[in-house]
Amino acid sequence: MSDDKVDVLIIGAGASGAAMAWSLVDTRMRILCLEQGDWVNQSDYPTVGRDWESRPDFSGSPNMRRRDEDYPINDADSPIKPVNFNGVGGGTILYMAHFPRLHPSDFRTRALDGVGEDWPITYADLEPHFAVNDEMMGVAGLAGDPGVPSKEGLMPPVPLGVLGEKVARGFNELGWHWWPSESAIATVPYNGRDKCVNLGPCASGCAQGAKASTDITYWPEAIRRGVELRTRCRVREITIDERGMADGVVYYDADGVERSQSAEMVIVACNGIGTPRLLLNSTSARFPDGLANSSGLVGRNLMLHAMAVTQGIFDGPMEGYKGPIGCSLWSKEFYETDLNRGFARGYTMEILRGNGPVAAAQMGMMMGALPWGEGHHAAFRQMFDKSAAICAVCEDLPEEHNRVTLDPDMTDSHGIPAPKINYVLGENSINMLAHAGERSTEVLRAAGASFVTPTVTSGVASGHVMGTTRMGTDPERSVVNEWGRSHDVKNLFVADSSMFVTSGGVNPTSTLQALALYVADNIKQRLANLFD
Amino acid sequence: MTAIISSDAQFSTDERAALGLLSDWMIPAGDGMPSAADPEILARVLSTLATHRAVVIDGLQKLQQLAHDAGVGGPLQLQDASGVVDALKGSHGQFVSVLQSAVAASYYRDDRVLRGLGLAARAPYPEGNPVPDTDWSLLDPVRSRAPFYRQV
Ligand SMILES: Cc1cc2nc3c(=O)[nH]c(=O)nc-3n(C[C@H](O)[C@H](O)[C@H](O)COP(=O)(O)OP(=O)(O)OC[C@H]3O[C@@H](n4cnc5c(N)ncnc54)[C@H](O)[C@@H]3O)c2cc1C
Ligand code: SF4
Repeated sequence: MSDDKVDVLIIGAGASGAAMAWSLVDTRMRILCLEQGDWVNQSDYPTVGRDWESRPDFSGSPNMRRRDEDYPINDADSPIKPVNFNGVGGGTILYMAHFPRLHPSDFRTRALDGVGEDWPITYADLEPHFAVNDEMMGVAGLAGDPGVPSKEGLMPPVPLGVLGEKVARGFNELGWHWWPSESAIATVPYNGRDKCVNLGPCASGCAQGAKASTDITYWPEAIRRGVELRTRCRVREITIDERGMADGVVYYDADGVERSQSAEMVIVACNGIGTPRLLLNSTSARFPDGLANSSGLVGRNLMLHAMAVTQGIFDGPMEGYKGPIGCSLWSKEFYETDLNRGFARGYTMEILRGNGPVAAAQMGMMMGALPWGEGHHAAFRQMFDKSAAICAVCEDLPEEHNRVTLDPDMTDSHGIPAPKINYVLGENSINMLAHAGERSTEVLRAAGASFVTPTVTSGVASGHVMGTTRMGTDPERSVVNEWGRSHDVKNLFVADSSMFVTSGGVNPTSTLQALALYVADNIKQRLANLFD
Repeated sequence: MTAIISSDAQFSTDERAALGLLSDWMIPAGDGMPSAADPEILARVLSTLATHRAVVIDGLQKLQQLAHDAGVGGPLQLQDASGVVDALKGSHGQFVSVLQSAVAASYYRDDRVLRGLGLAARAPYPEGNPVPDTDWSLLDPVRSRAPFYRQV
């Protein structure tokens, strides 16, 4: 294994690291990516086995998954529990492939609504990068949605199924907007990928290879064009030279041996929790509070998306376990601000498909809807495959007290301090969640639900982690500049959703990948004076 | 029944019997379906629970105590299933939720159970599931709407 200096060192091979590596290949620089996890073999995915609903090693929670390559997250002080995956592809291995973009108004929340902060860039700045990313990932959807800006090149949408059609009729009944969700799922063969065969549980990985995880989209192409990807390499800290420039990293290789790797520039793509964790762990006499942290904002302004999950029980079978679990239809009816609702900004309603029998029974017993004893069988038949859920993804505003710090006691398997999350729902979010729960109940009733469960807003899992090294032009109010370079360390960049200034009310991956491509493009255009 | 406390990595005979009892209370045979204490299903339950040994042993000790309080020789002689379950839920919620999760995971992947529910007894991959094409005329009322996202 060589410790020769590389031109570009990317840390993290997930959604953003993959896009960044692929794009920078054009520069013909020597690019190395260090990833703490491994490749996932398609045949290891749960859906190939009979125990497909009970594989803790593919759980979204690192605290349950507990693979060697995972780091624990202390989430005791957060009502929202972060989920992720650590390996080539990162979170895209387990994501549901819902692929909305942030809306144009999301980049101007202060100017339009007097809340949050404005981004230093606009939707228009990202538009060309959204298009490139869509082509690389492959997106299914239907053109003509009046709720979002138009786009081209979509594969046919994922079919709605019985469940989706029923809920869609509910929206029509109320005269509310809905549209088939945009999904990073191949509904027809796409760039060597097979089409979706409706296995269902995309959130435990796609054995079919239809879902766009970056291990099968960007990475094969980036590696073919010369990027080196080293797996099972966990970076402990980014090091600096006497001028205060990043000069490489210290990492542990697959055998646990401590190694160093020098580089001309370092790009961090470890996600909204892993990135601030690494920067906070990279202390020195010059940066005693963590690297790139002169603003004190590294780890602050954490946004996780408040989520309101409401379930309706219907009389007939919904066939909800057939088809991509996260991708059926969305509604933008309550996305844009209307202050009469009692809050600023808004949310997307995402209609989820149902669970397989194990998850349905586990949830039924947990919620007390499925009794022990004699009545169990009748109750299970009554409830199984009869439910539809709406998850309202609510924009949470940036608040400095919501943050990632280093846990004083908890560490990963290499003894590196683990991240600790402190997160409190703001008043705007609480009001929005209440509204979202009421509207979800209304639409489920209109769709024919005979019973609607109380909306759940606490203990909900979220893989959306944003804001912890926000971008901006003012070094006192932001960590990286308007093209992703650290204000403090001029050869250090961030590539992931840590840069988000606000969270929008949509899943972040499409936007964070477009942002990574935008940063890569800026690097390419400024090569002559990149570190000035 | 003697003490059900064991320091072995495996569950003792008495512990297995007590866990079988609770599994059967949770999902008894009936409606053409097996009990969750069916040997094949129970073996899966026990192997799942082995990774939660401390919580399980703690819960079984409580069960033993409830039997003692009821003046019977051991859990297998307990009559008032629902009273015992309520007491366990009250004081040993984590044990009950670990047990419920393990029983559900072991029971609802069983071939007999899946067939009884009219489901295919197979892994989802590679066959997948048929989902009919959607008639997109459902969208007509939405299509007639003008764009309403804010242009910035
Ligand atoms: C169950 C689940 C469902 C989701 N559903 C959706 C969805 O439907 N739509 C959507 O848009 N998003 C969804 N997400 C979120 C999505 O996965 C993330 O937004 C996306 O993966 C984030 O990309 P990233 O590049 O910031 O980080 P990641 O993809 O998390 O990649 C970071 C990588 O960095 C590596 N790393 C971290 N620290 C180190 C270190 N010190 N050294 C070396 N390597 C390191 C990690 O191992 C990881 O592979 C979901 C996530 C989960 C878990
Ligand atoms: S539903 Fe489609 S995308 Fe999801 S796991 Fe199955 S084949 Fe893959």
